[in-house]
Amino acid sequence: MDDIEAELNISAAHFDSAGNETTNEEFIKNPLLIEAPPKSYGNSRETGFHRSSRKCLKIIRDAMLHHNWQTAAEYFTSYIQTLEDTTVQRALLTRDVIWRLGTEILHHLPNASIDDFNAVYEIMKNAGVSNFAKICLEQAYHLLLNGEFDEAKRQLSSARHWRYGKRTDAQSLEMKLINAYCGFLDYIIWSKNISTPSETEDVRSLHEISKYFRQASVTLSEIIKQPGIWDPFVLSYITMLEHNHNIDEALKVLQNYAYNKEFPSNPNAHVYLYQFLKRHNAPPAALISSLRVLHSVVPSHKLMLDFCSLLLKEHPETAIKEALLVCMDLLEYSSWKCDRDAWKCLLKILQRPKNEHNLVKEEWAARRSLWMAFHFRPYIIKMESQKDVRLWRIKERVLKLLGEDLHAEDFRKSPSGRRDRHHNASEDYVNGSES
Amino acid sequence: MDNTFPDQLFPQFYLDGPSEIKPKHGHGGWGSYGRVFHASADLCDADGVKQQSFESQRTVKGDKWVPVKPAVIPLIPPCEDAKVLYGPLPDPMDFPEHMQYFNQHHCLDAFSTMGRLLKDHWSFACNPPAEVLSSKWVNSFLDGLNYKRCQLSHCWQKIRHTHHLLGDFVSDIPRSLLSELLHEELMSQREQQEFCPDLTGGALGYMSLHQSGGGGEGCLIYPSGAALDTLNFHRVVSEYHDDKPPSFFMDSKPFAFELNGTIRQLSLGKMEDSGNVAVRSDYFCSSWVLGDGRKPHFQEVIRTKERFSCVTVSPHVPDELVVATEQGSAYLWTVRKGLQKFRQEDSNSYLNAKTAWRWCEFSCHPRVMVFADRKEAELTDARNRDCYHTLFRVGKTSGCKMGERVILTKYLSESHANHHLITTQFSAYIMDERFPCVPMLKWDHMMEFQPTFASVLPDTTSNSACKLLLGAPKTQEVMLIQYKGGREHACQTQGPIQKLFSPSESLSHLNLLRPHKRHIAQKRLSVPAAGLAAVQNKDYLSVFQLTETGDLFYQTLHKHQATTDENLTEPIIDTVDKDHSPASETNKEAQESSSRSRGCNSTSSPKPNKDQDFQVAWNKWFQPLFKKAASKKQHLRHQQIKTNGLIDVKVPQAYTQQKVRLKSLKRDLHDVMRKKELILSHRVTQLPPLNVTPVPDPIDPALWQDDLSQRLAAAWDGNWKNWWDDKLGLNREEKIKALRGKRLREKQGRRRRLSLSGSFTTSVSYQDSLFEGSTIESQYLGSDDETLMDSQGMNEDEGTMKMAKMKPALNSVEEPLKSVLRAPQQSAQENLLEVSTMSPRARDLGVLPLVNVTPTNQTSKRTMFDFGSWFGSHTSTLDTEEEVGLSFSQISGASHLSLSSPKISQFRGLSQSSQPKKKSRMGF
Repeated sequence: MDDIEAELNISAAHFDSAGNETTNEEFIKNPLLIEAPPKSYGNSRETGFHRSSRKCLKIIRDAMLHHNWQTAAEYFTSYIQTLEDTTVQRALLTRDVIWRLGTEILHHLPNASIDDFNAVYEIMKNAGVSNFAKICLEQAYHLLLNGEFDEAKRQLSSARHWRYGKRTDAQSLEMKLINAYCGFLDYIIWSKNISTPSETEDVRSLHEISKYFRQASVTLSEIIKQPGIWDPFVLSYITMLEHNHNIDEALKVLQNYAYNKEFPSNPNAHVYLYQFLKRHNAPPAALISSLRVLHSVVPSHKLMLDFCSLLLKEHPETAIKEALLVCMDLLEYSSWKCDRDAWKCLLKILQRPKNEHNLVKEEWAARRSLWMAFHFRPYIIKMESQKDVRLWRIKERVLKLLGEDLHAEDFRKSPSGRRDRHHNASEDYVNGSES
Repeated sequence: MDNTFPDQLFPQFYLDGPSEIKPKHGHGGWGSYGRVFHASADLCDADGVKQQSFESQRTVKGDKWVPVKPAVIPLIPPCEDAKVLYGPLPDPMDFPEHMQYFNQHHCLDAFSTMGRLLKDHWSFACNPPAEVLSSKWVNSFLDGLNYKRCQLSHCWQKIRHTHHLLGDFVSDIPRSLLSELLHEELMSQREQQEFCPDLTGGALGYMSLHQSGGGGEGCLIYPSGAALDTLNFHRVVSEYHDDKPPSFFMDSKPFAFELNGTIRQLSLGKMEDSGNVAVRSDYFCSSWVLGDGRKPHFQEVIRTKERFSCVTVSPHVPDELVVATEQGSAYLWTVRKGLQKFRQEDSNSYLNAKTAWRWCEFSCHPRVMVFADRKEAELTDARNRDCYHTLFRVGKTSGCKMGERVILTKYLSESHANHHLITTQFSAYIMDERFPCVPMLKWDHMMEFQPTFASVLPDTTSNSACKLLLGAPKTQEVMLIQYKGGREHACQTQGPIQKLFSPSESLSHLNLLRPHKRHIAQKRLSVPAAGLAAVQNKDYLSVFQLTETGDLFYQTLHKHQATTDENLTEPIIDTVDKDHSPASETNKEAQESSSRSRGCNSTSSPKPNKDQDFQVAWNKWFQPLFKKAASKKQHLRHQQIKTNGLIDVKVPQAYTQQKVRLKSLKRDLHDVMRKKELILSHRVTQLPPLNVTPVPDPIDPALWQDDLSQRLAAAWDGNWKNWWDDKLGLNREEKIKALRGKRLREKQGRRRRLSLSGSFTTSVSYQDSLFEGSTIESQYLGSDDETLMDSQGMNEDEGTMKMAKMKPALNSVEEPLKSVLRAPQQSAQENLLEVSTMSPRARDLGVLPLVNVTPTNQTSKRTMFDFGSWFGSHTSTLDTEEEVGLSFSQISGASHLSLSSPKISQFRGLSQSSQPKKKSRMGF
C-alpha cells in the first residue's frame, strides 16, 4: 500500500513539474540572422548558391558594421546576383536586404550620384511589390533631403495611385503616410505662395493656390484623425484653418489631438492647444484648464511656470495651494534643480502675504527629507554659494520661509565626516580587506 | 536645457496592441531615413528662391570614429586561475550518459543505502548459507561488463527477473526522478549559457575622479578571481595630448576586497565629490563609497533569500539605491536607513510566461523609479505605491517584432535628464519619460546577441552627438550608436551603427602562434564578455571591456575630423603612442613607438608592418598563460580494461611487410605521376609483375591473300564498301573517269611548272595509283588522319599502353598517307587544319608541330573575344574604381539576362558550326 502511495506521489510530483516547465523560464529568441547557417545540418537543402550568397552577405555585413564601405561595395556588386534567387521566401527577404544595403553603401561612397540612388530605388521598388510603398516613401524622403522638392512631389503623387490588390492593403499604413506627405507637400507649396504673393495675381494662380489648399486640407485632415503623432501635420492644418478663419474647426482639431483617448499623451498636443488659445485671446480659465491637464500629464513641463503665474494672477486667494504644489513638483525634477526662474516662482508663492502656513508646513514636512538631500545637501550649498550666488540667495530665502535654520547641525556636517559604523555587521560579506 | 521638449516630433502612427511583425532579417538598421519633417528654417539659395529644407530622423553622416589600433589591447595581466568553460552547449537529451557516469563513478552515492540493506541477504561468497542468495552469476555478469558486446546474453533471464524485482528501488534516488531532474538541470544550464540574465548591467565601471588639462584620474572597478568574487578598485591615470591617443597608467596594485559571492553587476553613481558603487551578487548587495583622495570603503550590505536581479545607484541623491529581486519586489535602499519597498509584482501582467527578471532604474524625479520586466517598463512613484504609468511596452507603437523582450533598461542621466535607454534583442529605444509609450528614437542594433550592457557618453559640446555603447556577452560585440537632440530638436540618429573590436578578433592581428598556444589563446579570448565601460576625452574615445575570466581589454577610437570627411579613401592617423605594458605603470616606462599608419579597413588580413608595441603588449599578456599551460602536466586518468582474453587475433607478420610495401608504392606512384609516366613494369614499382599478355605481332594483310581476309582488312579500315565495289567492278567507270581527269590536270599542270616539279608530281600520281582506295579521298581521310596522328604520337614515346589498342591494319595505311600529307602541300594543309581544330587529343599528343596552326588560334581567339564582349557589359565596368560605387547598370544587366540570349545563341551557332567535323571520329 505504501508503495502505491509513494508511486502516486512520485507521479503527482512528476505531473507538477511537467506543468511548471511550460511557464518556467521565458525563452528569449535570438535576433534572426539570415547569414547564419541553417540550423538543421541533417538534410539541409542549402544549395551552393545559397551558401555562397550567405557568406557574401556576412562579409558585406561585417564590412558595413566596421564602416569599410569600399569593401562592402565590392562584395555588394556580387551579392546583387541573389536577386536571381528563385526561392520565394528568400527572394522577398533579399530584396529588402539589397535595398537597405545598397542605399546605405551609396550614402557612404564619395562618388555616388543622385542617379545611382534613383536607380536603386526604382529597381528595388519594382523588383517586388511587397516593398513598393515603403521604398517609395524612402525615395521621396531622399529627394526631399536633397532639395529635389518637385521630383519628390511627383513621386509621391504617382505612388498615391498605385494599386496592387491585397498587396496594397498590407501596406495600408505606408499608403496613408504617402497620402499624408503628399498633402504636406501641397501645404508647403501653398504656404510658399501665400507668403510670397506674386505681383500679377491673376485668376489662374489663385485657382492654383486654392487647388493646393484643397488637396492639402483634405489629406491632412484625413491623416490627423488616425491615432498617432502628427505634430508637423497638425501645425500645418491649423495654419490653413486659421488662414481661412475657421477657428472653431481648428479648436476642435486641436482638442481632439490633445484629449482623444486613442491618441498617445503627446505633450506637444497640449502645448499647441494652449498656444492656440492664447493666440485667440481665450479666457484665462480655459488656459488654466488646458495647462492643468498638461500638468497631470507632464508635471515637469516648461509651461508649468506659466501655469503658476497664471494661477497666481487669476485666483490669488484660492489657487495658492495648487500653485505651490505645481511649483514644488516642478523643482523636484532634476532638470529643474538649478533653474533660477522656478526657484523665484516658489519664492514668490511663499512670499504671498495671505500664505496658508499650515499648508506650507504640511507640504514641507512631506518633502523635507528629500529636499534636504536633493537641494540642500552640504556640497551643493558649498558649490552654489561659490559659483551661483544669485541662485543660492533665492534658495536661502526659500529655506528661511520654509522655517529651516541654515546653521543647524545638519548642514555643518561634512560628507567626509560621516563614517559608517556598520562594519561589524557585514564582516561575513567582505572577507579580506585590501590586499 | 533638459526641461525643454522638442516643439515638433517626427510623424508616427500610434497603434496599440501586440505586435504582429515577424522578425525577418538583421539588417533593418540600414538604408532607411525613418521619417522626415519640414525644418522651419528656410534658407535662401543663390537665386533668392526659398529652398525647402527637410530633416530626417536618421541622418546619414555622423562623427566618424576610427580605431587607433588594429584590435583591443590588454590592460591588466591575465588572471591565471580563472576557469575557462568552453565547449558546446549541454544537450538536455544527453542525460542518460550523465546518469551512467553517476552510477558508475559515484556508485556509493547511487546505491549505498540499498546495498547496505541487501547486505544480509546477498552474498558474493562461493558457498553462501542457505538463506543467503548466492551471486555467482553476478560475478560472471560483472565480468561481462568489460565488454561492450551484449554482455547479458548468457544470464539474460536472471537479470531480467532481478530487474523486475529490484529495478524500481535498487537506486537510492528513483531513476525516473533523477533522470527528470537531471534533464531539467541540463535544460536550465543550456538556457543559462544561451542567455544569462544575471549578467545584465555588466560588472565593469569607470569613474572619473578628477580631470585636469593634460589628463585625468579615474578608477576602474572590476571583479577578478576564479569565481569573479574579488572586487577591485584600480586607479588609472590617463594622459592626453593634443594629437596623440591617450595612454593609461594603472597603479601597481588595486584595492582588492574579497567578497562572499560572484559579482554579477556593478552600478556607479557619481555625486559631486564622491561616488557610490553598488555591487550585486546573487544574494548580497553592497554599497561602497569612492571619494576623491580617499581609499574606497565599504558602507553597507543587504542580504535576501531571493536572488537579486538588479541594483542601481541614484544619480540624484548620495547613498540612495534601488534593488529588485527575482520575486518581483523592488526596494528603495537608503544606506544606514534601511529598505523601503515600493513595488511588489508577483506576476507578469502582459506576459504569459513567468519571468523572474526584474529591473529598476531611477528617473528624472528622485522618487519616481522605472520598474521593468521582460515586457514593459513602468514609472512607479515610490511615495505612492499605486501610482504608476507605462514608460515602454513591447507593442505595435514602437514597431516591435513578435517575441521581442526587454533586455536592459538604463537611465541616461548623463546625457539627458529625461531619457531612458531600453534594449531588446532586436532594437534599442530612446524613451522620453515626458512622452511615455512612444519611442523618441529606435535603432535596429543588428547585434547577433542580446545587448546586456550599455554605456553612455554624453555630448561634450552642443554640436557633438551622444554616444551609446551596447555590449553583448556571448559574442563580445560592442556597438557604437550616436544620436543628437531631445531638447529643442527632436532626436536624430547620427550615422550608421559601428561595430567595435572584440577581444576574440584580436588574434588575427597578431603574429601567428603555434597551434596549441593558439588554441589556448583562442579559448581564453572567446570567453563571454562581462562588462563594458567607456571614457571620452575630446576627440578620443576609450572603451574598456571585461570578460568572464576577469580580463580587461581596451581600445581607443579617434574622431575623424568632419573636414576630411569626404576623403574616404584612407584616413591615416599617425600616432606616436606611449604605450605601456600591463602592470608596469609604476616605472612608467614610455617606449617610443614607431609611427605607423593604418587605414580604415582594419579588419583586413594582418598587415606586413605590424604595430610592434601592440604585439609586445599581447606577448606579455600571453606569457603567464602559456607558462601555466606548459607547467600543467596532463595526468589523464584512464580506466584500464584488460584485453588479454578479448582479442586473440594475431597480428600477422605479413601485415607489417604489406605496410612497407604500400608505403613504397605510394612513393613510386608519386614519382611516376611527377614524371608523367605510366606504370607498366614492376621495375619502377615493387608491385608483383603484371600478367601482361604480349601484344600480337602486327598482321600484314598482304600475307593473307584470300578474299575473306582482304575484305576484313578493308572493313577494318572502313573501306568495306569500296572493296565490294572494286570486287564487283561497280565503280570501274568512275575510276577510269577520275583517272583520266587527273591525268588531264597533271598534263595541264606540267605545262606550267618547271621540270623539277614535274618529277614531284609524277611521284604523286604514282603513289595515287598505288593506293587505289584513297584516290577518292576526303571521305574518310579525316579518320585516317587521326589514326595517323595517334600512331605518331604513340611512336614517339615507347612503352605506352596505347600500343596495345592499335589496329593491326594501321601500318598499311600509314605509309601512303604520310606521302599524301607531305606531297601536295596545299590540299593537305587544308585537311590538317580541320583535324587540328577538331581533335584536341591529337594536338595534345604533339602532332601540332606538323602543321601551321595560326588559323585555328584565330578562331579560338574570336570565340574568346565574343565571350569578352558578352560579359563585357558586366565585367568591364566592374573593374574601374568609380563603378565600384555600385553601377546599377549591373543589376539591370543581371535582370535582363534573358534579353541577351541572342548573343548566347550566336555563340552557340559558332560552336555548332565546328561540331559536325567531330563526327569524322566516329569511324575510329
